Amino acid sequence: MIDVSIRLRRDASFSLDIAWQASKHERVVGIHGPSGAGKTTLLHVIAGLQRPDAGRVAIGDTILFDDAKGIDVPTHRRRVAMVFQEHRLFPHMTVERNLRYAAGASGDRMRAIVDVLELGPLLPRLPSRLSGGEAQRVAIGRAMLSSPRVLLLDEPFAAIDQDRRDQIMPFLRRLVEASDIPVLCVSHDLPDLLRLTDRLLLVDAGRCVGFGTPSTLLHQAAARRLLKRHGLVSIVDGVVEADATSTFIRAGDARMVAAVEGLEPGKRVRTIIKASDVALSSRPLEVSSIQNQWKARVVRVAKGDGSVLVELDAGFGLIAEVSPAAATELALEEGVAMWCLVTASAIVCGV
Amino acid sequence: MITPAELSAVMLSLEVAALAVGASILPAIAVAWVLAKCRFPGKIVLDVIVHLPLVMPPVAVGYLLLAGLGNASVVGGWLRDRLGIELAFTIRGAALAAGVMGFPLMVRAIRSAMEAVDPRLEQAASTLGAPPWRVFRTVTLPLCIPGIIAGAVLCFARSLGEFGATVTFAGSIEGRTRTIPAAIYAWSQTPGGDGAAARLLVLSVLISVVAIVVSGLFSRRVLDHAKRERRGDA
Repeated sequence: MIDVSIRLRRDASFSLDIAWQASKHERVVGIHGPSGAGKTTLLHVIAGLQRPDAGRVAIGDTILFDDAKGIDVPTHRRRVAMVFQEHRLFPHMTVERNLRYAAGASGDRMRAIVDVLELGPLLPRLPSRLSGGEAQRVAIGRAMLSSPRVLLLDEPFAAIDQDRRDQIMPFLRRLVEASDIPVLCVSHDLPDLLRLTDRLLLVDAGRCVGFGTPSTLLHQAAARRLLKRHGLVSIVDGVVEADATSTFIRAGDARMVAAVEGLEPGKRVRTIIKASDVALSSRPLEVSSIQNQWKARVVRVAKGDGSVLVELDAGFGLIAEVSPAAATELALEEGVAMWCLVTASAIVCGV
Repeated sequence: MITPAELSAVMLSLEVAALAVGASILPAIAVAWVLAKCRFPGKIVLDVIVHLPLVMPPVAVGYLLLAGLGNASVVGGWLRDRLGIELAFTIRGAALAAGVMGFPLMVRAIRSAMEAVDPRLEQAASTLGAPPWRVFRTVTLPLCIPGIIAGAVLCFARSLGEFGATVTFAGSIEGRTRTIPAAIYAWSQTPGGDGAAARLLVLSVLISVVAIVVSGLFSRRVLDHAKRERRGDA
């Protein structure tokens, strides 16, 4: 579905050399890596805002760039919509005119996008009268209205605070789920990215160091190093349930208590748990403030880089990061039963 | 009391300045865009040519126009014989000379405004499917309107006061090409013409004051509108 194989040398200190393909089953891909890794440059190359020295860029059957064949489709003909870190709304146009600016913004489509993103009340306003979150919602809607082949999101949440991110994320996820176009989202914030997708393309120093789900990436040394540098996380999908005393998230057989308000029973949620927030114990704690204690089986133990990564099966996949001393004391090895301890506040709820 | 000859000089000056601005505004926008947004070998040459009238003696510019577009020149002769357009010693010639002298001022103002337009907005427009001409028309141009107004006012003011190039290329023919500066010069060189020169001087000061006030009010309106837009009251 997406086929990128490019070389670009910007200066002596940076070059981008990436060969990567995503199938149509990998429609939503998060691109993650440290600052200056080349994530944004990669998106710019796909959008035609930067020209690679050599290589090929194709979306489906459409070749956007191929130096061997002399093809370089100009940006405005690529149908590659991009949402930037800063909203880039046209300051002299109202929200409605910004939305209508997108080529191919027909009435029906416009109404649908306005409904999904709840932009109706914002239509007569100028961008200067929008909050950061509202402006970014409009920018996302405007990009979608251009009937793109692919949607590129370049750090769409970097310029807005966490509360606003939490507000936008449901809209973005709803929009992504409602469409069938490929989406590439760049973010240096892994938990944010994982709220949108579990397919990750890891980029470091202009090179692709891994592509897959976090659990598969753990088996690749370079990818694991990068993920560890930015904090390893587990993604756990569940359904909100409620009993007489509390509201919790059901994931497999486990009951997950999260310190999050506004969880509605019956709703599907994605939770993100940092590996460093998961403690292990050989037996359950009888009296403790730790709300989540799940029995799990050790699937794999990976040592190195000053810590030990433990993959566990608690009815859902979970990763714990413990010190080598703790690993020795607990005698961690494949097949051993462990109790995973996670505080309610360590569970981040997506949408 | 203003004499018909003095009134003619005033009206002619206003007409010449308006023609100069009207004829040069589109080329100035085009040249400003090329200088602000394009990269090409020899750009510095274009930049120097555009700015030459600012640094050259106006009489030399007038002489160049005469040599290049005068009736005796190849181009001037062709224009007159084939298209019936005569420039030298006509009001068109006066407007051309004034326009050439005001052109760099207009280009500079518009170029600065275009360079101030955030190129990231233009990038965003192209990712939305807008071809370059649409990006220019709908994003670049509207965002540099204050610069275009400022450039037009500068060119108008420069044209009103233009003397050297105009006199050399268009002459100082009463009722045809004698603008206020040419008339002031003519009367100042004529015995007993001091009164007329003084009246024209006062009139030119009045016109300048009116032009400054009107352009100031206009600029204020544009700025106020922009501020209201920023506050979201518009």
